[in-house]
Amino acid sequence: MISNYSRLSHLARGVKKNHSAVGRLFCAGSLVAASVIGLVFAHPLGVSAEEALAEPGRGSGKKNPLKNVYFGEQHLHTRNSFDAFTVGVTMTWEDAYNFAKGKKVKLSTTGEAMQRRTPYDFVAITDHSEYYGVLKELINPKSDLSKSDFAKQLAKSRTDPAATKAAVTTLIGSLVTNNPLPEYVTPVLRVDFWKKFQAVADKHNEPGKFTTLYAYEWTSIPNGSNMHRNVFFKDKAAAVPFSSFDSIYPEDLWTYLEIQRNQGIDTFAIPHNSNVSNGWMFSERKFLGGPMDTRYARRQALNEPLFEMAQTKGTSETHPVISPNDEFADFEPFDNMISLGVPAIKTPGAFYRSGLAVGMKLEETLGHNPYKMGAVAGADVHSGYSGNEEWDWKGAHGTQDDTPQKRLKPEINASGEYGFTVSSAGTTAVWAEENTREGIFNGMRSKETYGTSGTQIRLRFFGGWDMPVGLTKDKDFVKKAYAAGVPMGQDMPAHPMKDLAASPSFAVWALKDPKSGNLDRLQIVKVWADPANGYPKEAIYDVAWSDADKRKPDPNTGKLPPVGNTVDIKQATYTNDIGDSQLVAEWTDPDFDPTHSAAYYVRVLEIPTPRWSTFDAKKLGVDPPKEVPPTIQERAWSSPIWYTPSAEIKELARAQGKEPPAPKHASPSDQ
Amino acid sequence: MTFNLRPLARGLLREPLLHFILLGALIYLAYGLTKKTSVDPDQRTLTVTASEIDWLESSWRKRWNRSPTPEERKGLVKAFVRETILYREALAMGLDKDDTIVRRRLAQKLEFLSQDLLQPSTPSEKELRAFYDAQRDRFRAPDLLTMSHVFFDPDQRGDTTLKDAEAAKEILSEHADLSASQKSVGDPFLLQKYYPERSNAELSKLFGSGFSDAVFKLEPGQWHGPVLSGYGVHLVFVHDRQNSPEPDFAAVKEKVRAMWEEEKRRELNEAFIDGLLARYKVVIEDKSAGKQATSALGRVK
Repeated sequence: MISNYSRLSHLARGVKKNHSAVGRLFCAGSLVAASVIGLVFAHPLGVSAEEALAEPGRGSGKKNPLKNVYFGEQHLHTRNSFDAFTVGVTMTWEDAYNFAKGKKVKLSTTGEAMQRRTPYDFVAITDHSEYYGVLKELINPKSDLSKSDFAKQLAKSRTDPAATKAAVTTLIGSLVTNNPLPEYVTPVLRVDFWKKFQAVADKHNEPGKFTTLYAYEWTSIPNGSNMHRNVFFKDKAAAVPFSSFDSIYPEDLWTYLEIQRNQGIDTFAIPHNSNVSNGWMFSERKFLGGPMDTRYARRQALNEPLFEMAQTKGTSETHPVISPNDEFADFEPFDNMISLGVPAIKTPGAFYRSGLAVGMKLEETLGHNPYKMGAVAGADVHSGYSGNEEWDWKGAHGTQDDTPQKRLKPEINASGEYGFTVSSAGTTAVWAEENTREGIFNGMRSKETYGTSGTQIRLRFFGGWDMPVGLTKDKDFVKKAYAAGVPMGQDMPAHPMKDLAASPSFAVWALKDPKSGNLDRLQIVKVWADPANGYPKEAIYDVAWSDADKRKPDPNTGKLPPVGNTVDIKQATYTNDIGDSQLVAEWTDPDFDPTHSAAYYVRVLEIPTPRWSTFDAKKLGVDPPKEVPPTIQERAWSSPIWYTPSAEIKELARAQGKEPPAPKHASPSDQ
Repeated sequence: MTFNLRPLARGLLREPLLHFILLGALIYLAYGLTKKTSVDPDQRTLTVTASEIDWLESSWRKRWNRSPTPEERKGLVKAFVRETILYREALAMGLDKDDTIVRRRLAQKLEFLSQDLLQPSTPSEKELRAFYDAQRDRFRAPDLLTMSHVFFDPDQRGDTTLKDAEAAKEILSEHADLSASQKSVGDPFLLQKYYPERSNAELSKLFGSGFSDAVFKLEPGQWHGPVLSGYGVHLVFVHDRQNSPEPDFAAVKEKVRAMWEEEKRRELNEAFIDGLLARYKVVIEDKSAGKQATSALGRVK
């Protein structure tokens, strides 16, 4: 169907006829030629000590100081989320873990068999803490809960569909209005179910191979504005999950997190879907009103180190309204408020990119950047599986969208959306020394992470003041880059102060997902707050691109021509005849102002490949829906590297009379 | 020659006997709809309970973000009453029969409600042992490969990539110091040059399954290739391949128990369906032979 190897097989044909079979990647002819060499036998493990240190053996128990990248899930629901239960989902925790590990699993609502092509390295299941585990208990005849009035109503639903609907609507309604049914939110129930979850997570946790994190979702949705957070634990879990019935205010959640940490239970939270927060997520004000103060900013930064960039309810990086000059901003938007069918308000507080600038603006006055957040991505799929592949998308919301027919139906579903506007899941990548709870958790908290739209691109990003020229050509690139600079998610080292004209330089290296499309381009996105008025500013630099012998930026506009498109929409196929396997860049900011903060993050784009709706259309033999693009450019977003001027630098600049005006940017993406 | 049928039809339409027959049919239909299949008299009281009104209101609030006005509230209840009556009448008329959607929904519901209600008992040592013996291979750790490789980038080298790799293999094979010679040829590559003790699944995550399958077939102790991956062309040196032995039962006992429980739970869920099936005699008509095949067990395979 899709030939990742078309270019290579073509290559192979040029050398030897028997190399041409696409499926047979191995060249048997060459094997024979090499088998007579005896010299190497004298050094069967001729590996230098230094390399052995970089890649310790499995049994050694040693960590890799240069870090490995681990791909996984940090946002997923099973039948134990009340809303998943109501759309007929019966996928268990076990099912979700097994699917992530690459085992064959059946989609619960249809019985369709499915299996991941590339297993995940870690998974955090995040069922809603509201009514945690309640619905399952209501129909369990052994449970006391099944004797309550409400349970009888639910039990009646075995014979009376109206009763089910009543039960379910009561539950969801109570969440939006924040009026819980008292007997179903008792701590006893929550604690018991939380312990059960930990036992299953422990069972599937295999240090070094597969990591399961204790986690849940705190679902605050005041007036429909999405303020949801997922909560994660390192090795010990809190006694009780915090729910929005306890409080809908983020500050109360932070208090809960701080209490846990004081007791030695390490934890943090990750917010998501700022795109449907009505601009609340990256607000300049406190949630309960009033301008933000230093304490609030510090607590926000301490408790929420990361942000979920993409998931099924769209991308929160930016929006064409916010970034009109970014030709790739219109990627999997999700415009309407959840369940309400009205457009969410698009302000700088609603998107990650502008949110970074809001954080830097607040830092000027408060001394703390509340929104110094790294990037991750996730599923938020409620059907119990992490569906991150376009060709293997089976819907996000149980019986609502579990067949191609339902997904492509031009009708608004119960979520207030057309089924085809839902995006396939994103993926989180974590650089860590080992695949353990400690490794993954620490990697996440130190923000050495990136999010992708679901592809498994490998991405390294380093910044510093004197990164050696030619670093990316060095075969010890990673080791030297760690020595010379900082990785993604960190602060730039202190300004060298020798020369105010010094500018930060960066090294970026991206390697494609071997099972996905080639790479189109590497971009560095620079974000800062306008020194004059604090308004978010951005500049996007194409720092490396594929097919560079043929593609040159337009001399007039500076724009790089598109990579092209090999997608056969009718057949839902593409070829890797365009694009490159890896893209590498060394880049120095040409417009650096040492007296103001800036954040730099990388965006990597793949060549166009078919969107999931195009695969569905092919299955049904119909045209893909006109409302969404038939092809997408999958991508990865790195955590930023931040520069913050020290008091000394500002002083020096003033002393030299060099308080520079707002930096000028030649880039076409400047706004 | 043609007949003009129109006068005949007009005559028929005026025929009182036809009127009589049509009218009779209408009355019969009306009778059928009302009398024969209507809801039992004792079912004809419809009480809208306070809790039902509660959820009507809360679903309204969810949708409109405010409480309904008294007028709207009346409308909600009216619509609910209307729907309930239609629903009851539809049931009485048997409209739920032979409806694919209703059938599927009810079947799904029962399946859902019956899942995992029964917990498996604790397995005996003997049971676990037998379970283990029947499928030892599932508990064996995967084979592990230790390899080094050199990458040749087709985006840089174009048509000469394979030729370059072949030439480099000559050089590599003549050098004793593997790590030094590895640095002298090939192109920069983001992945590590050396991977110790990796399973096929792990190498597949890194290089794709075509590559990992290929290198697991290679003889240790020499340079091989070119081997192709989703990235480009590689030369591969296999240092060692460890075939994992079958584990001791004691060492994997907990894993065996976990798998046993998982399997039993699945069996119990299946057993529920089987139990239902056992109550039925399933007859499947064989269209081609015109005969009937009967399954005593009721289990349809």
